[in-house]
Amino acid sequence: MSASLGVSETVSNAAERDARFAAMLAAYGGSITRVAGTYTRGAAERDDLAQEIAVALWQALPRFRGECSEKTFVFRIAHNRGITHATRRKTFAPEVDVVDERAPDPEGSLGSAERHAALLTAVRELPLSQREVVTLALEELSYDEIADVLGTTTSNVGVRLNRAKEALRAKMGGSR
Amino acid sequence: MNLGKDLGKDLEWQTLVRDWKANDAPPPGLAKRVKRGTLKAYAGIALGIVAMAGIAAATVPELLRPGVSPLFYTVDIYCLLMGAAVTVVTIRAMLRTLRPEAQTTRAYLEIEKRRSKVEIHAARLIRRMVLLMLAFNALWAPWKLYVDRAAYAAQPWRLVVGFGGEGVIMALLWIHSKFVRRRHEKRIAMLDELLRATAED
Repeated sequence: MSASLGVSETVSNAAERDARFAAMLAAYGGSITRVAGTYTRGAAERDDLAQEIAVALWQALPRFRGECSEKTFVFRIAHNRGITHATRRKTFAPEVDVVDERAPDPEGSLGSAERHAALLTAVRELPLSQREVVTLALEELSYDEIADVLGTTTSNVGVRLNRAKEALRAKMGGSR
Repeated sequence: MNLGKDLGKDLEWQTLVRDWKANDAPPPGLAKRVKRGTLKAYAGIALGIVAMAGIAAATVPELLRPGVSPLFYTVDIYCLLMGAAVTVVTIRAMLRTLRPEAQTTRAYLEIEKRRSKVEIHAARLIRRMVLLMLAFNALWAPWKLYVDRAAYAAQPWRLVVGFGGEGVIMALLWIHSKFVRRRHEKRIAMLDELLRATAED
């Protein structure tokens, strides 16, 4: 689904940029929304941040030279915009949120939206250093990819992720 | 035994991943909203620049009217230009912030911290310029009013445009610099907190 760029390729003309952007949104739109959800308090704010991330992606696209994978590129921008959004507020305190009313599970499982909301709440309550690692892990990025997004080592990712998983289990223990 | 425990943990993690991905709906019409949002951002910046240029265009000719010592208006225009230059630098920094490069998160935090420090320095410079302009005007305005009293009596709107325009510019620069300084001081504190958190492990 994702249209990867070669190392020497750049996104230069407008039509190509539009097409590449549409392909990226199709491939990573859900991921962008979920990452945005970890930095915001409600569905409306999350959608606004998702739009900001998409704007940043659109603007950064012409400078994408393929030094990293497309997936890494998208997640770096998503996290960086999330941090910018978070630092506009006064604190990083845990936030109260609601169940997303827009996204019922296509398979019709009654509890999926609630389970997702409970998981999102637990993720938001994690310290930011654990939150960003666990979010990327939940998006099924490998240790190497997470390290590449965050600018750290794989062993550091491993340590942080283990702590995050333990904290998540403890938090989810009451709600699962 | 450990294998069973690990397997159980893996299965639990897979369940969490599945629950996490159950919400897979980006905001509707995202691509269109992106283009609208980009246009609005650029339109807002252009409007701000045009407004500042308009006020300056209305004010500067009044300050350059005959009867004023070249030294005085040179100093005043210099202050205005410096204020405008710092404002332009600030706007350019804002534009760069609207386009975050795809840096690693840690590098991005460092860049954002440096940008915030630059914003604070720019804000302090603007405040010093405004203070300099105020000091200059405290000396110059009474003299100018006295010299051009006949012209101002005949056309009072010149007084409003000339001094009022400059007053508006100074007030806007002062308020803007104060707001920017406070916002970025708080931001640096938060970025430091994040940098500490990411360096802990």
